[in-house]
Amino acid sequence: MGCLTAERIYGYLDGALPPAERASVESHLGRCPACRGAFETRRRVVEAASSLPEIDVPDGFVEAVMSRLESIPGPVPAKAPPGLAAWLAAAAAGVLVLGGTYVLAAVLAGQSLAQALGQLNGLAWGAARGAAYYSIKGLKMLVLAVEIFARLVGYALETLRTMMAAASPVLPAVALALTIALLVAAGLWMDQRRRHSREERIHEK
Amino acid sequence: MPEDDKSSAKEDRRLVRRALGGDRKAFEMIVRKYQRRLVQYVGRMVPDREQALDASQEVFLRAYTSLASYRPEFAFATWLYRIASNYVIDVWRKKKVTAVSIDRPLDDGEDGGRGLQLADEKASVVRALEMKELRRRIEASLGRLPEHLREVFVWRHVNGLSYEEMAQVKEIPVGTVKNRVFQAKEMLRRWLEE
Repeated sequence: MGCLTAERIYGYLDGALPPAERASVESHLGRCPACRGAFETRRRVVEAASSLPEIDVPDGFVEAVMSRLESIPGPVPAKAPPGLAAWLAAAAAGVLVLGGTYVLAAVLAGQSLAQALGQLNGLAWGAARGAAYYSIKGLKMLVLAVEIFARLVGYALETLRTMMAAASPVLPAVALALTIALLVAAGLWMDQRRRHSREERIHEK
Repeated sequence: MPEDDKSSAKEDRRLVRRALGGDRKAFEMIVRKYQRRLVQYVGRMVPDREQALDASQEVFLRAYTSLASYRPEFAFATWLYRIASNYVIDVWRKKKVTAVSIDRPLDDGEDGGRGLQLADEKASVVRALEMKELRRRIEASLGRLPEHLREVFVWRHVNGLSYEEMAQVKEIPVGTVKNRVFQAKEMLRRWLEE
């Protein structure tokens, strides 16, 4: 094992290293005075930092908070996201407002109330029929899209099966091994880069 | 989660429910429970003592007004530290607070500039005195740390938060928190060795 990095020393001091690695660090410390010095320095910093004197909380702190609390309103209720009922109510309100406005406009334009209501009724049925027509059309298109997608997946799988059957049985294993090797190499390279950028060799000084 | 933590979390949830129902005494119990922890954190993030105490009170007020947004599946302390952290950031932005000027010499004691290297065998009294001096110098150096490093350093070493808890408070990856704590410790060590 090479000399200890600062990261490793802090890992040891944090108790974050697995037992085998802890033993390895201890063994290295036993035979490397430079690492022992670096370790001791950092141990003392951590020890001092973890035992800093407590800041006193003055008597009356809680009372001061509670007194300031008197002058503010209570907790603001959290806003719940609108549920289905709220959406339906909003939609119904919207329809009512639109309908009411239409009838009012028609009456003001000189039509009788019965005529205006009759026209509104016709319009509403027309809108409902149109909505139903386009909903069914949309549903049909969705079903068609799902069917096309399923067929494409089926063709892809069939092609793959044919290719696998034609290829040597060793080929998939080689491809898998190569992929794993590439992934491992990339991981090692990234780890190495990270270590070089973040860790500090203890013999720097 | 240890049994003590479980019962403490259960108690927090109960107190929050009562406080939301208008029971101010319940919120007072929350303040009593968390005041010390909060002051240790805020006191090291905001330099002036009075300002720090005022900020700590303000954090509790903010917690009270937004109590309804507390989600019981998280630890109350985590939620409170998040409010405190946001508040401290606001204070820094408004007042450009720095605890100790970067130009100010770290050690104004008689033995200024002394390194950390110690002989292996020292009398315990001398060691205790040296540790006390080291603590004093660390406190004095904290203000030189960039805020984002100081914050996690204080949480880790003063408040005793785990890396996972800090990651939850700041909503950042655990690796980022570890890296920040590492940087803070190494910066302090270098300054103390100067």
